[in-house]
Amino acid sequence: MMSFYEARGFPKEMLNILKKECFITVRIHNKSREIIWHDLANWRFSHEDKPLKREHREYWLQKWHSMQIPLASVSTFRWTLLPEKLDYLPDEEEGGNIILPRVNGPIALSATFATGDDQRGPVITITHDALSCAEDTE
Amino acid sequence: MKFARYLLLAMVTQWLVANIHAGPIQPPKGIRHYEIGPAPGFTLVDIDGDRFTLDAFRGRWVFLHFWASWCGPCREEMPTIQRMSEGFSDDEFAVLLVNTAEDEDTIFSFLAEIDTDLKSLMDADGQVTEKFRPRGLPTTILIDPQGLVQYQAIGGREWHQPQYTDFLQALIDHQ
Repeated sequence: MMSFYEARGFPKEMLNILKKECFITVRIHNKSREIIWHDLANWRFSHEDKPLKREHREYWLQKWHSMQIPLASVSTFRWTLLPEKLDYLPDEEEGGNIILPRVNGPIALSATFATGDDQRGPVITITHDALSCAEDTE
Repeated sequence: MKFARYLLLAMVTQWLVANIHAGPIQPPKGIRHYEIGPAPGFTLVDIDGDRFTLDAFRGRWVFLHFWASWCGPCREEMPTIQRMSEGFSDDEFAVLLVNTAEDEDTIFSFLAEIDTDLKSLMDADGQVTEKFRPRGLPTTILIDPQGLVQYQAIGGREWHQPQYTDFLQALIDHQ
């Protein structure tokens, strides 16, 4: 991910912070016939059975503002993040990055999604036990 | 005279029934109702330095498309926007592209690479895009002739396909 941000002229002080983080790139596609409700608060990440704390996007945006990072870089950064909450109608898809503390080795995920118009449909649970940080490919 | 009264009454009834049941036009898959009220006003310049104010397009439907060169679906979608726009007159339908937070060179290179005649406005610091609160990039916002935001199209679409052009034409015809 660093080469992506570097290529877009992100300031060095921003890059120095981001390169210490782990980026997980996610794409969610609702292939069901129901509305699916995504809420990052319902995603749990762990490494070696210890929880990994994910910072809310507001944490990052406030950090960049306090560092007086140019608005264009803040805006691009924001658009590359997976939204905190989103409803997906059937066949809709949307994705983005999740930022976690960088760790060596696999990351486990357990995420739940409410379904149905009123969010009271069957809960979808997704688990993964071997996620890895996105590495630069550019 | 009596017949004329009945005819007038029938016409008024028909008009009322048609308008009561009209409601918002049902969009095709991938386009949502997005009623956030009046579109936030803005003035932006394009890569030639010409200024565009959203208010100047009042009175016709506006297709406001937010994009960035780094977004994969944007690259695929842009040529379909060009093809779609060729089927509509500027007087009835305005297509406005807004690049989000990139510099002039990047925008120019991208548009040249995909070989489009479409011009793009430059939202250099990304703040106009923020005002519309799109779900992601690319996003297209459809603004009605009164200046109200009515629909949001999420992700890349093949805008030249009949399901979309028919929908856009229905919006124009309905105004």
